[in-house]
Order: sequence, then C-alpha cells, then structure tokens
Amino acid sequence: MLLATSDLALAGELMIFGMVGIFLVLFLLYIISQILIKIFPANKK
Amino acid sequence: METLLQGITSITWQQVVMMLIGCLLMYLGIKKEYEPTLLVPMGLGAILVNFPGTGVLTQMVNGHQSEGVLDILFNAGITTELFPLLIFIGIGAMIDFGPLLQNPFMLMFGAAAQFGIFFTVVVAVLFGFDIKEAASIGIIGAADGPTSIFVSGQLAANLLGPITVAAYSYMALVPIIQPAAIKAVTTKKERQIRMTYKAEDVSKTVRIVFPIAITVVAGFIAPISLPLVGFLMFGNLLRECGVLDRLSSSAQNELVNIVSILLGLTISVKLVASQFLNVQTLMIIAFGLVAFVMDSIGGVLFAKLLNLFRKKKINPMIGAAGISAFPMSSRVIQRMATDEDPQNFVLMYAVGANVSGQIASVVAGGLLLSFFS
Repeated sequence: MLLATSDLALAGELMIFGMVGIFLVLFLLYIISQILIKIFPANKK
Repeated sequence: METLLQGITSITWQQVVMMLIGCLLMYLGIKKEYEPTLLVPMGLGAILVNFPGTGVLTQMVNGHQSEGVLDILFNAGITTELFPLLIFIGIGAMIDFGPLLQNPFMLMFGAAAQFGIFFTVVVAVLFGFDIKEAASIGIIGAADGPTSIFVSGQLAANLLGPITVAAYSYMALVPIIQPAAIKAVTTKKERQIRMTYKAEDVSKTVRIVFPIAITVVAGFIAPISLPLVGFLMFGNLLRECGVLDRLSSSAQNELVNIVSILLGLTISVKLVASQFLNVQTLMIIAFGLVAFVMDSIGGVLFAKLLNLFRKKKINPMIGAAGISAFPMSSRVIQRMATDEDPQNFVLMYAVGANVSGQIASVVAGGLLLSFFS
C-alpha cells in the first residue's frame, strides 16, 4: 500500500464532485418538493 | 480417530480469533441489541466459515469441487447485488417522507452530513489504499448497510467483509459516536437553541409524486445509481400509493426479514480468517469511525454556517441528524437537546434531517459509482 499521488488527486476530485453533486441533487429535490407542495396543497378542513 | 480429531488439530489461532469475533458480534446483537438482524447471522456465519474444511464454503473433496451453500448464496445474492437491492424495497416501504416534506429545507442537512464519506476517501488514499478501495471505505460513512454492500461490492469486493462489519457496527454505535462528535464542535449555548415547530400537512399527491420525482432526478444525474434509488423509491411508492397496502406490508416485513437472514449469513463468506485478519481490516474499522465522526461534524458545521446568515437560528445539532441511521440519530439529537434544556423539542426537525440522510446516502453511493463509470 504505497501512496499514489495520482490517487490523491483523484480523491480530491472525487470529494469536490461528490459534495457538489450531492448538494446539487438535494437542492433540486428541495425545489421540486416546494413546487409540489405549492401545486398540490393539503386540504385544510 | 485421527479423522475425528482432524478439525481440532488443524485449526489455526487465526480461525479461533475469527470465531471469537463471531461470538462478539452475536453478543452485541443479542445482549446489547445492536443491529441484531444482521449481527446475529453474521456472528454465527463467522463461526461456520472458520472451521477447517467447513462444508458451508466450496471445498475440494476427493479431487472434486464441492460447492458450499454460502458460496452459492454469495454468488447469487451479493455478487449480483440482489440482496441489498431487495432490502432497499423494504426500507423504502418503511420510510415516511412526511416529516421531511413538512420542512423540505432539511434536505440540505442530508447533503452536508455525507461529508464524512468523501473526507474518508482522502484519508484512506493517504494511508495507501487505491482510489476504488478508498471510495468503498468512505461509503461506510453513508451509515447505510445495504448502500455500503452495494458500492463496495462493485468497487472493491475484496474489502466487503470488513466494510460490512464496520458499517453495521458503527450504525449501532451512533448513540455513542454522535454526542462526542457534536460536543466537540458546538457550545452549550448552541445546543440550547430552541426551534419552534409549525406542523404543515402534506397532501397525498405530494407523497406519491415525491418518490417518482427523486427517481427521475437520480436517473438524469447519476443513472448508475438507479438500482439503489429506484428500488428504494419503488418501496416508498408501494407505501404511499394507497392501493398496494398488502405489498407494502410484505416488503416491510416478509421481504426484509427473509433477505436479512440470507444477507447476514452470506456476508460471513468474507469473514474467513485468511481474508479478514490483517492490518487492512484494522485500518478500515478505524476509517469507518472517522467517516461517522466527520459526517456529524460536517452536518453541524453546515448548520453553523447557515446560522451566520439566518435570523431564526437553527440548532446546529440538527445537522448531525442528516445521516442515514434512522431513527437512531434523530433520537440522539432530541435526547441531547433535552439534556441541555428540558423544554427544547427539536425532534421533528431532526427526523426531517434524518429522513433526508436516507435519501442522501443512496445518492452519495450513486455519485461514487458514477465517478468511476
């Protein structure tokens, strides 16, 4: 198990890809859920 | 007589150690009730696979290869990724997105609390693991057993045993790990922040469309994650559609129970002494802890960052609830809030973040896989 600098660069790239990706996807889901809640509001009895 | 004693005379100390580890797993499952559905079968499995010449693994008998039942199950259920995916249907059927849809902003905490996954990838690479092995180790931080099995099965099948043991063990240890991690990065005053809760009803249509929307988004952004996301959301659709209650009940009970029995036993194929007892395993167990701690810290720091810009402050402990270990993490957060201020009730926010963590962990798994595809 020797440290490969190319793997370290890939790990850094993966970290950026992963964190940006996950925030992007969940922000998209946040927007979608807000839109859904606006379009289909709960019946208030 | 020699044949009868062959088992005892040919056993190695490493195999004895693995049997003791099996006993420890069963003790944790039975006595401490830590993830018993997985730890008990895995514990007995660890004993079964470590007898010299055990019949549960494939052996050469009189010059012929005799297939072991656990190897057959492993090839059928783990190599094909079938077992974790079937479990996902059941988990999906158990998830109630209601608390999350009442406060959709909690989705962001699910994202922040996946930080430990990617942080651990870097740490594992620094310690000499190759990038795919490091990614498999990082996914322990998803705090989600089936996702860990699914991802590591594809990226580093050789590490499946220690990764699964670490993932399930740390999930069971969330009540011990999270308070320590949270206290390290928050002040007492921050932990006492009160949040008023306004319950909003969510319509049935939103509940039905939401899992479909998640599937569509995942399909466009990380199509390789669709087995994970799609099966999870299929289970949730069974629950929410209102016309498949019988199937939803089967998914939550019979399906999950049967597959859990098989999954736990089958994973033990990777608990053979020659593959498990090495420095790598110890490192993986240590990195798993790093992943869990950094998940909690990532979530808390994100909440603190938001508080710099918000008038209505968020209790930063909510951020730590954005992991997938449901409902354990939200319970831990509420208990910590009550310890600091007996009148503080943050449970519903914590549950929302915790449910978000269930979505975020599979998305994170999918992103890891798509990075390498």
